Amino acid sequence: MAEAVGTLTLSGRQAQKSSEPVRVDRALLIFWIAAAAYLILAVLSVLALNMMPGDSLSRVAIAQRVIFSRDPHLAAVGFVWNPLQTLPLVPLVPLRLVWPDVVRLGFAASLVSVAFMAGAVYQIHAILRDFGVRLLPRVLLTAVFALHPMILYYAVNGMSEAMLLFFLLIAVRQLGNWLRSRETLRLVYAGLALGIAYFSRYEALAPAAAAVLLVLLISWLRSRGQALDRMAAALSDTVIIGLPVAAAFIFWALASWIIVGQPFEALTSAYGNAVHMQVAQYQRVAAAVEYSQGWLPATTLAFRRMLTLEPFLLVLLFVAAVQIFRRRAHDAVVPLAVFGAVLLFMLGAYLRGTIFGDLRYFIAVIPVATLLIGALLPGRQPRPPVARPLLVSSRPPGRLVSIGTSALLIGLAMASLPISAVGMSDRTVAPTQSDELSPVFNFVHHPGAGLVALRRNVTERAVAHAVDALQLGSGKVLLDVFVGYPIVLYSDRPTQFVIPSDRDWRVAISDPSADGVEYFLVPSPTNPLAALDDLNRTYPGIFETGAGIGQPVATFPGIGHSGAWRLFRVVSHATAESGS
Amino acid sequence: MTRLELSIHGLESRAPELSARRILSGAQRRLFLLALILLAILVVVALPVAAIALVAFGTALYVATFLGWLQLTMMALKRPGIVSISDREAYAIADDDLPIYTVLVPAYKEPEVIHRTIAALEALVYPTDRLDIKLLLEEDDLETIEAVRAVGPPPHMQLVIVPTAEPRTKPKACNYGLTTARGDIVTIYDAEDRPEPLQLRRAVAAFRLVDESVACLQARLSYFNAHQNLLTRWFTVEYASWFMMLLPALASGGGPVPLGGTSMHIRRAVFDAIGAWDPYNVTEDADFGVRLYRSGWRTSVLDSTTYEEANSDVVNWIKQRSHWHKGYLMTWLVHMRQPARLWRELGPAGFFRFNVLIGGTPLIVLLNPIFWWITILWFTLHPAFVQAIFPPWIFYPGLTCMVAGNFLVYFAGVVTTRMTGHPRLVGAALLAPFYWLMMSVAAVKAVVQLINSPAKWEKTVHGLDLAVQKVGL
Repeated sequence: MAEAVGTLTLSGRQAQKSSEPVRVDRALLIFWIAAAAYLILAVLSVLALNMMPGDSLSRVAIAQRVIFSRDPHLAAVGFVWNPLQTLPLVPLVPLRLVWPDVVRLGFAASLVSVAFMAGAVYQIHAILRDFGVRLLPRVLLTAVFALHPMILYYAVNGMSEAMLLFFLLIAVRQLGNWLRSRETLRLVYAGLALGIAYFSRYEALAPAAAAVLLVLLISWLRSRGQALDRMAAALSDTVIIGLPVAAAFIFWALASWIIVGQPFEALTSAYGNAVHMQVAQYQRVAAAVEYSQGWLPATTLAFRRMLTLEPFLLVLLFVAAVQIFRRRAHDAVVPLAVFGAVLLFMLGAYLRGTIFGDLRYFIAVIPVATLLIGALLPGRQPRPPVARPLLVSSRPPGRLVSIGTSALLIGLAMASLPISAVGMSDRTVAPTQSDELSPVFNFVHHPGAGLVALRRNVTERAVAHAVDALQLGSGKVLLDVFVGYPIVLYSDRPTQFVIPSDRDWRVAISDPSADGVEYFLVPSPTNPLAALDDLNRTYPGIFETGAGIGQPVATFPGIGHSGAWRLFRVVSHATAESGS
Repeated sequence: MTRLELSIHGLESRAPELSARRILSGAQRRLFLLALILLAILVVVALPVAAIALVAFGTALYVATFLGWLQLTMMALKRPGIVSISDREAYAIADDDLPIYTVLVPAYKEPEVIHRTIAALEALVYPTDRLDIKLLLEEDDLETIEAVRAVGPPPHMQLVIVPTAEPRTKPKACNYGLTTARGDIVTIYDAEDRPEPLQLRRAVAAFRLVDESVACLQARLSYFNAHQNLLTRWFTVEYASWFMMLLPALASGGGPVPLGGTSMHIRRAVFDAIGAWDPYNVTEDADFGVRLYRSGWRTSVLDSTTYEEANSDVVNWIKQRSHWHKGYLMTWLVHMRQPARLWRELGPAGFFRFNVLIGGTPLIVLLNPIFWWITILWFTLHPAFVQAIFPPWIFYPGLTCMVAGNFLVYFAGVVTTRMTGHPRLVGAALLAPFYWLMMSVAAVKAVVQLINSPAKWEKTVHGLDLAVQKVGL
């Protein structure tokens, strides 16, 4: 039976045209408040304290290449990371002309993650409102989510978690509304959100699969009529939720295959995740030991990480399971399915050794815990038209019990904030975060020393200054940006570099002198990542010897996390032969 | 003028600038010639510039049409109102209170089907003394005339013989029938139509409800043979998308509404104001809708469905579709004769909507395969000329619109099947790109015909489902 599409039945009394004035959602205020707060925090953490993870900075460098490199073209974004991680940065990069720190310190990435995390906060609030949570608990829960240390950090550090959470939350919200109201339009929006989520992170495939199964099951169970009609209804609903993500997957694989010849670059690229894994095993970080010890300790560690972020997660899961079984918490199903799928996927990938056991991969426990609490709060009134009453219980809880339970649940949520803050400083549980946030943790432990900014990329900055001082023209310095991207970021003359995204890179690297290149830069291969530098791979031993194509001109010692760099002057073949 | 002359020359004499008798006005002819000459000069003098200019122009049209479709779809999602009259309200009007209703039923060479037509008309719930049904048959259509006489239609169905005269078109026949129409409301049904029996009563009730400026109520069209084969399924999805989603959006928001070929219920007085149908225009319904809007009248959608027969034969379908594309192009050319006046009469939004809907519809099915072909060519062979004619400022918007556009239209087709109560058609919706290819073929044929034989009327063969039954399939 057709749903009421375009049939506002105006029988009897009204005129033919009826369009309600658009009411602006007052809750948008929440978005603006969160955005403003996160922005201030971003200014503090990135501009003042230089706390920007390498991945974010690297993506800003990629975005810069699209416009400001020697060979500007959009395909420079590459296919290792999904497009939405870099494309939104491209329009921001031109700001470097008026304000260089936008790219040098990676602030452009912060702007993007601030916006998306504020959006995620707004979505959390909207979902809680759809659950029927009353104003006070709703605002409190939203605030607890927004102020969670992990959420705070990933709002300002330019990583793509914020984007993923935002789109997944849209999907959760729309799917939840579809469950309640059966409007196909909700399903359309959920499907589109999942498709766009895939463009930001490939992990979105897991929640998409979960959503497809959920929709298939529920649509089949709810449909009426002959078997053929029921199958058709279930099938078309499943297609609606699944088609956008399938199209996104196919489109991205096709584009990747056509442009770089590999459909799944992230998994196979020399620079993709797989190699990072091998590399990590050589790094003397406690986390690297994880894989080698077997799956049980690894799993335990994974759960420790999840509980660091949400200490009461297991309790919540248990209670939610019980309430779902008693048909009192239908709202909990969708968040569990969507974010649970992400977490299971991450867990599986981690146990297979495909990804690091980074704390950030488990960030999905935060929205899931928040929404579970929201779904379990007593005394809710669901908002959209309800196809079936949610609360089947005939005996609503008493007022005192209701307030007590709500206070307990929200209290638990609040308590998780300090617990996770402490957990994030633990080197075993949070190897990357404890490192990246060291200015904060150092200040907490030794307030007397004051807030000290992170010193990063000191060597690379020195290299950039030195090369700039040579006043070279376009295309004179050969440099692989795999570990060398900060050099390009700090340089005032990015076009002087010949980099892998330039379309003549292979020509230049095989015969630098013939291509007009005068210098090249090589990182010291003692750092395992630097060993993957294209110059180090193409010319083994080039850092020590120059490999017959260059003479060392200057060496820049490694400072802090940076490795050493060496600048070589290209020698033409004639000179090399006559010199030896 | 005699009745025949009136039906042929009525519009032409009243408003020659709005008649499609000549496809191109003098000024348009000169303009096209000038453009061709300039293009030729540019090609000779600076081929790359000419190529880029053409490509930029084509891409701009493509992007504009897609954006127009997108806007309309977003409007459709906001659930625009249509006029819905309940059964109770329809029956509530006393018979004496009902106006005389003229129903024009043009038919040509339908001896097999005409008895079903008469049966469908007899099913209409309306007092027969207030029904003015005119079966319009051509003078030389002896078989159908014979078939009608054999059935012996009731007295309120009048057999009107249209004298043989060029142009031999449906609108001319309808105009001829209109000259002796007695009704206050006029509608058209085709020979294979099965209107919902209460439709006339609903229209009467609706007219009393809506604003005076609403001159026309378009009922929905659908197909009774939706599941006959893949083509009819495709066609049904298309009609569902148009009549249940896009048309209500169009009717509620700023722009001319091209009418469907049948089941448009029109106040008789409007014909005196703006003239009748254009006998020279092969999509006289679209043209009439535009003329209505230009004169300040409005169209609404009536919540009542007429079931037609979907074309189930590919060749027949292509003929019909090229006919429609040709008509849309004709309509566009006719109304664009005086662009300034059109802009004034339609307003900026209406003007954009007119161009995108009437001009854009045949255009985009022509451009889409070209762009796809160029894209595939580029990504497989990387020929240099493609890079030359697609500088980045054209390439990226064009590529984005092409990919996003194709996906969204495809997705919308699938969503439509679910939202309009046709979930079983989802399989056909998933195969839609092949349907689009057929549309492109029809568009090419339309352009060719427009240049060669504009007045040729492609008669759609009906009763194909009967033929299938006879052969025992």
